Order: sequence, then C-alpha cells, then structure tokens
Amino acid sequence: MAPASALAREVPVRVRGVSYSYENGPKRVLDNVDLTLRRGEFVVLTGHSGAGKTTLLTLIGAIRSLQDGAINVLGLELGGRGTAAQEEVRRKVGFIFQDHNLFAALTVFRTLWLATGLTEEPPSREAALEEARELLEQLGIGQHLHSLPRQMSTGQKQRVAVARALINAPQLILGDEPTASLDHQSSQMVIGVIRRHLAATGASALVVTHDDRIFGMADRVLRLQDGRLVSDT
Amino acid sequence: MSPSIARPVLEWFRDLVGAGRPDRGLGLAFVSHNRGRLAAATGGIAMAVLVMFVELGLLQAILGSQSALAGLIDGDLVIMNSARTNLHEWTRIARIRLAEAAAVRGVANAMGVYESGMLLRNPPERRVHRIIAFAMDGQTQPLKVGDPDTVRRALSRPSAVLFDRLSRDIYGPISPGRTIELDGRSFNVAGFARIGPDIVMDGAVVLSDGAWLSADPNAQPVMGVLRLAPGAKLEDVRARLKVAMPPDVAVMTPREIYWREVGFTFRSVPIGIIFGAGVATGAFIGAIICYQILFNEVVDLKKELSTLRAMGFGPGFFRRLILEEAYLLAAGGFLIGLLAALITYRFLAGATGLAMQMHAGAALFVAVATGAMTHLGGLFAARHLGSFEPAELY
Repeated sequence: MAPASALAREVPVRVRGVSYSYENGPKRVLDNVDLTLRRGEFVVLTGHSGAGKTTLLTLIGAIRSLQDGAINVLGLELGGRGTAAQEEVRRKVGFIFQDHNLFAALTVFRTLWLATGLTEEPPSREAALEEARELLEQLGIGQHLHSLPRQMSTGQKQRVAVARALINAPQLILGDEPTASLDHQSSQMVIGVIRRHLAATGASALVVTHDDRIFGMADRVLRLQDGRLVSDT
Repeated sequence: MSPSIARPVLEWFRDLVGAGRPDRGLGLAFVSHNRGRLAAATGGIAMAVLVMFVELGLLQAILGSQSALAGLIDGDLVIMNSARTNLHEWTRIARIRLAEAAAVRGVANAMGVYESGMLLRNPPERRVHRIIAFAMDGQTQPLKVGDPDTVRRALSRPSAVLFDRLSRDIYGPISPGRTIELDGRSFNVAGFARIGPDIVMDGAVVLSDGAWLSADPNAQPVMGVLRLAPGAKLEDVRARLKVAMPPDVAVMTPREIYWREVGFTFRSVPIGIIFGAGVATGAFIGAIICYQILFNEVVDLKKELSTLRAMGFGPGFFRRLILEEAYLLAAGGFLIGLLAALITYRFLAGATGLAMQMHAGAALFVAVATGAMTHLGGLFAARHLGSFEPAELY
C-alpha cells in the first residue's frame, strides 16, 4: 500500500459520497458524488445551472464546509477537521474566482505579491516582481504590471485573477468559469498558460465551465446533473 | 509634480512600505485610495484630537494662572499664615514675623509681600475696574515681575506703579507716563510688569511697599519671602524657623506652594472632573468616528476581503490590516489636530489672557489617547470581518 503522502501526490483530490443541501433548500444540490483527480490532469466540470458544479468546487476548495461524505485535498482530510484544515487547503490551492474581486486600491503587482504572502517562505519583492512580470507576459497583460484595476478591462482583470491563482505554483488549481469574460483567443491563451503550468509542475486542475470551447483542451470532461455525476469522458 | 510622475512614485512608495513582507503595508494603499473617505476620517479624528487638546490646554492654563504667583517668588523659603489654604486667600501674617524670621540663623533676608484688591480708574474713563495690587521692596524684589532695573527704578518713587502688561484690556490704554487712580489715589505708570491674569482677576499692578504702608501704616503682609545666607542648609533653616515662629505661621518652599495651589485648584473647583470628562468625550468621539469609517471600509470591501479569506488569509492578517489603517488615520488626524490646536491656543490666549501653551507632556498624552482610541475603533471594526464567510461569494 502506497504511503499517504505518495497517494496525495498522485491523487490530489479524492471525493467520496459527498452530499450537500443548502439551508431551507428544497433538495440536495449534491447527491452522493464520487470524484478523483489525478496528478497532472486538466479536468473540466460542466452541467446546467444549478447542477451543483460550483458547490462541489467550493467544497473541494474548502470555501464551504462539508456536510456528508469525505474529501481529501492534497493529503488533507476536510471532513471534521474544522477551520485550520480549511485554511491550510485554501492556502495550498490556486483558486480562480468567477468574479475577480480585485482590490481597487492595489496595483496588479501588489495584488500578486500579496498572494505570495500565503506561502511558507514568501519571495522577496524583487523575486516576486520578476515572477509576476513573466506570468503577466504569458497572459498577455505584461504592460499592466503597475496598473490599478480601474485602468483595465474586465477580461484583463480576469487574467490578473488567473495570475493570482498561479503565482504560488500551487499543486491544485480550481477555476470557477475562468474564461467567462474572455474572448476565444484570450480563453485559449489562459487555458494554455494553465496547461503549461500543469506540465511544468505536475499540478492538477479542475475547472467549472459552461464554455464548450475549452472542452477539447481538457483531459476529461465531467458532467453533473441534478447533483449527480452522470458522465466522465 | 505632474500626475504622470506622481502616480508611479506613489505606487512605488506604497509597495515600499510593505517592503520585505508581501502581506504588510497595505493599510497605506487602502487609506489613501478613497480620498473623500480619507478626508472625512482624518478630519473627524483631528476634531476629536482638537477637543482633547483644548480641554487639556484650558486645564493647564487655569492651573498655571492660579498658581502663577508661586512661580514669581524669588526666594528660598516663604512664611505665610497657616490658615491661608491658597494664594487667592489673603490671610495675613503680622509684620513683626518678618523681623523674627530675619533673626533666625541662616536667613539672609526676609521681605514682605503685600497684596489686595483695588479699584482702578483710568482717566478720563469714569468707570472703575477691580485689579490686584502687589506691593514689595523695589531694591530686594521678592517677586520677579519684570526687568529688575526697571522695577527698581520704578518702585523707588512712592507715587509710581508698574502695570501688568498681560492684563486684560478692560482697563483701557495704559502706558508708561500715564496717570491712573488706585482706590482714589493718583499713581504714575512708570513701566510694565509681567504677571498675567487668572480666571478671577483681570490684571495687576505693582507698588512699592513704602507707598503701600504710607496709605495704610497698619498693613500686614500676605507672605514673607526669605533668602538664605550663603552655605545655609534649607532644611536646617526651615526647622529653626518652625521653632521660632508661632504655630499660625507655615514655612514652605515656593515649589511646595506651587503644588499645593495646583492641588487646591483641582479639589476646590471640580475642574479635574470637568476637563477630564471633556478629554474622555473627545477620545470617545474619536473612537466612534474611527470605528464608523473602518466599519464602512470593511462593508464596502466585503467581497474583496472575503476573496482573501477564500484564498487562505487568516484572522490575524485582517486584524493587522484594519489596525494598520487605524494607526495611519490616527497619525494623520493627530498631526492635523495638533496644528489646529496650536492655532486655537493662540486665539484663546489672546481672547482670555490665559497662558495657553502646548506642553510636550500634553502632546504625548493626546498622541497616546489618539492611538488608543483608533486602536479600539479598529478592533471593533475588525470584529465584523470574523462574520464574513467566503462561501457568501457564491
């Protein structure tokens, strides 16, 4: 039997029998979901609105507390571990939010440098500056290193949110509609950057999307329907 | 500096403040971003700081003016009636006590100081105004009321008087060479003294003890100022004086008189409570303003802050961020409030004649109080962050 750490490296996400209901909700949003994400995989999770995609993503990202079932993320059991485990998972995961929610007062670089504060050994300002410049160049917004959010378009801000999720080279990337506000060319560029990151680091990605333009770039496409995984292709 | 140059410089400075630690130094960026809110916050805190400074300034000015006479005494020891509990009560000692004190070993000089209220008329003005009159020997000068040579020359003439330059202007224009009436007697103003009014009395004049005694040969002094002979030890002389003087005579140093006066003023009039309540009110207002401003900031940035929580930033980070903002607002508010207080002190000093001065101790006290009130306001505002759930982003 493989040691737990080796298992966590090879299978960064294991979801077992997860169910979830919202308070006062009429029914279960997730119903006994099992899911496994392997090392280096780029997986797309899709389905109709209300199918439970974002709920599952936020449970894996430890943004929401587990009700039933078990989730293991990067070797950390989320069920019954409380806030400390949740915060540890949050720090280790690169989460791309649908709404970028950038601080109006912070420049792009300051936003990215702030994110590096989540690591155990944050880089120096100079090192972070180099890292940020390179990442932003890859995402096609290198000229906005010192811009404020109000000086950028919605699509550019979304790419900053992607950079914020990647700056710490996380072993797991979770994306909630990361290409929703991007045109086709920009979407291809963003997904390309994520894929290159996976190839370089062996990280994995789970992306919730309605955008069928990126299905072809995924290793697997999972489909959720009424809280159940109905296909894995 | 043009905006195109100023912006990168500002951004560079903002980043630099957090130099070395990526999660530090954000307060400056947040505080300076919304200029309207920044102006409201610093203005509000500055107002609270000004309230505290004015309350403390008035308290210090009142205490200072009430005990100012003690600061004018130019001697080592003072004898006065033990029933005289404060300097504004003129219980006298027998004049013979001066001679008795002068005879005590170690005392070089015993000088009488006379004090009373008089009615001053400044002709051709017909109205009279009450004024404090001091009398002393112009040669030995037991009170330091001005330039010694001017005082000596002026008080060598029996009909001459020194007018207190700091008196309130109710007495009309009075300058050297002018003739004024004190209790119906004419005096020539020979020069100016520097004494200063207090909250009860508007002004003062200084006469020679000769003029005083010629008007009332039975006049008794309110105090005797003693100077010690070279080499005499103060405590030894004090002990001998206590033996030599009857029990109704107290022997004190000028410094003891000063602190007794401060204590009396504090106890007899509840100014400590009144002004203390004023300072506390200022600090409370400041804390409320700081809390309100930071609370609004937290609410306005709810989504962004929740995103940081979702990314894994813990409660300590948020508390530090809010407190960083609070301290920056405190620093800005304090500096503006200090400037406003200096201007207000100047105005109040001119309007009241009280010595309104900015003391380092008061400035330090207000600075600490400002830091404390904004810290408190910041902590309460930061508490709301605890209720933010990143899941609310969805």
